[in-house]
Amino acid sequence: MSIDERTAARIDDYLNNKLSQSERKKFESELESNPELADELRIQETLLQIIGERGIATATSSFSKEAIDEVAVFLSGDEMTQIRKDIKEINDQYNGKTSKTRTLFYQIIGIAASILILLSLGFSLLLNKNNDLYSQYKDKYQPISMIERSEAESALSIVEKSFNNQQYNQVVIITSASGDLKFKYPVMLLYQGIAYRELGDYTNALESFSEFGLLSDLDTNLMYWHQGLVHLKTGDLEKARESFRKIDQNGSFKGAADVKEILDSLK
Amino acid sequence: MKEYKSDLLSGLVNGDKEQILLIYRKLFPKVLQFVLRNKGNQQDAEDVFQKSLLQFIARMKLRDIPEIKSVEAYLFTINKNLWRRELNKNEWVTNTTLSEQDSENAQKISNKSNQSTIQAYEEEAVAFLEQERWDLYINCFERLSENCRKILAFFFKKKPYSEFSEEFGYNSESVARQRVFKCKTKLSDIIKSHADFKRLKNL
Repeated sequence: MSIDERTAARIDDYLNNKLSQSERKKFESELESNPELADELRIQETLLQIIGERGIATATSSFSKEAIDEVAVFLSGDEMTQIRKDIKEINDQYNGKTSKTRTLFYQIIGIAASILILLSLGFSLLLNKNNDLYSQYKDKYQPISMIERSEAESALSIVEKSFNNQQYNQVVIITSASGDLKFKYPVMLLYQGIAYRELGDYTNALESFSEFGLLSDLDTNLMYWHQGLVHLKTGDLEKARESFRKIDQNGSFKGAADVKEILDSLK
Repeated sequence: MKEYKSDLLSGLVNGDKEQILLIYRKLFPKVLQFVLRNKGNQQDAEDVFQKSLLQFIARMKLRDIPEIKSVEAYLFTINKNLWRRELNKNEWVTNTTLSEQDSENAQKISNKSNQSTIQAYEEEAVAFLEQERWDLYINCFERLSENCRKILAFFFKKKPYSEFSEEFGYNSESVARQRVFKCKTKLSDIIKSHADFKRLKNL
């Protein structure tokens, strides 16, 4: 049953501490004897938290014991216990807390890559050629250090250190969590893109390079270089050619000879 | 066996490590950023993220799939709620506690766990139910007309009635009050008639 406008106003006043002490006492005693009023108060209170974006839990958050029991028993069961362990293991691996981190990740990537190679046997020669090109050039022309003495402990220096130590998961985590720093140091996006590429996440790698292109006028050729390598790696030769051609057209890239060599190979 | 719309969803429900790793790579950096900006640290973000995945998987296994547009967006909402919950924890008191003597189910748990583990499961269960309740309220709210949603969003964010006239073009505050009352009543009726209301209602 719906409540009337006057009762709704009293609920609002109660929730907003606008009732006098005696009115509040009277209202609370009504709540005890009127479950419909109590339900309505809890609904309005919950809406205030959820729609008013005040957070999910409050001192009044409570559920029936049956409801809690049902979920708690399920969460403590063997199936969820195993899933809990698996999630913990993946968390530790992803965040670099065990030596298995890269092992599992590269096992998965390795298995995926093996399947891909088997499936695309007919294209293997072409793939090999592209992968050879990729492997030959992938470690060339990395971003130049931007660290100043005063910034020895800055996020950028941690990114650079992690990158140099090939801790690519860390690079992705730190650069993603660095917020507006990318506006000050767009080079972070280059590191991020290369790290994604090394982790096999080519979609995010290309996104990082595009974002870098939007934020920085410097090192554009370097961005095209790494973008081109992603396309080489994924076998998108048309886009790879496009990226390397742009470097060729822009000129003044220290690896101009390599670019020409790659473009020749891609003809 | 349930059918799921995407590989990600079915992979998560089945505890597929590859899909769990994929969701880590897609979403964890965003959650870390959120937690770091809201008084937390790396460890907090990792804890919350693990809890969110566990809650999500348990929810999929125990209930019907909630209507979600994107797994990532929904998981991010769970993460935000879990982190807000952590921040509010000191003020939070549960009115219901399990006791080994009076609960058959508690006995089932205690066969495998000690008391502190029971409390941890209990707390996870409450967080699970809070998210269910959240989804129920949001789902009901979204069934209102666009105008009612706007009016109530304004009201629950505690905007003064004087601002309603300007925003919605009402002639007086009393018209605004009537509109708010009508929308609130409608929303309240939808919530109360929801099949899960009784199970999830605040005691």
